[in-house]
Amino acid sequence: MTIKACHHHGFTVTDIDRSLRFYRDALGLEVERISERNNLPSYDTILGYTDVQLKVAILSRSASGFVLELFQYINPPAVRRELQNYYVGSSHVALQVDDIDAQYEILRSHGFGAISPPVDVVRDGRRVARAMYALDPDGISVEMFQEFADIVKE
Amino acid sequence: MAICRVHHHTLTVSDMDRSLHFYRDLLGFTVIYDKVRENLASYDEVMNLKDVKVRVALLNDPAAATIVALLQFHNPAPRKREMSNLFVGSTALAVQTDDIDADYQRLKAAGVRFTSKPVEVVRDGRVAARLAYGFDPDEIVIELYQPIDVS
Repeated sequence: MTIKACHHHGFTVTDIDRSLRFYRDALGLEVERISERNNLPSYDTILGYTDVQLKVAILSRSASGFVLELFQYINPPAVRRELQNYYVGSSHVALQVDDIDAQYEILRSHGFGAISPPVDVVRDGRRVARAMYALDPDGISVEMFQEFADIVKE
Repeated sequence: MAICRVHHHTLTVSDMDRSLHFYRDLLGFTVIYDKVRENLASYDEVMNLKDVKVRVALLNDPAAATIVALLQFHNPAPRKREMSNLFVGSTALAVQTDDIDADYQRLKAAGVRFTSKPVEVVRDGRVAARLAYGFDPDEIVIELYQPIDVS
């Protein structure tokens, strides 16, 4: 087996500049690189489209080495459709925060919101976390949670 | 700023057992949690759905550095629809390999579909990486990625 690790997680978005107001300005992720990619035959082959033109933003959270890649398709044009978490293939990233209520206020001050305000997650009578699903400008869920017990072991 | 770290990436799948075969047996992830959750008022509220019942599996990547969460909804009933990278909100999970040709051949022999063979990505006149886009059992894009060391 030669697969070593997850390297990054990509999302297709409508408008990188608009998405950066969420991921960079409201969430505080660092922008590593923004590039436009045109005339790259390799991309046409890999993605299976003709004359791919992309705008790509690579974001990181240096403390965890995490890389998020945002793809804005210029050609072929991106297609918007309804997003629901129970649709197969839907995806979200979950961020652990140390004060979810403060994070919710930061989001709101930047004009963003969540499916619901932060909610206590109670299992077997114990509060194990407090969580919300924030929504990026395209309606992609970004889960945020504040952990009170190890949710993997609980 | 209060964001500590990325905790996990979630993918909604239609058949957990089939997906576990893919992520655990073919990609080499390790299952660290596998439970059905229901009657959790917080889930209904956080997701804005009613009577959520989900099977959740958490998997560590081979480096034990990233957790991938697989969600199989029992209620509401999962909905399948056409998948394409052009759809806003679609996702690609990139896994790093040190021998993309071997992994490509191995996964292909196991029935995994790919858009193309591994392809060199040339940026600024040099080969930066080799990539291939494969698909998990639900057609979620799994990108095989081998960085090319130019030092």
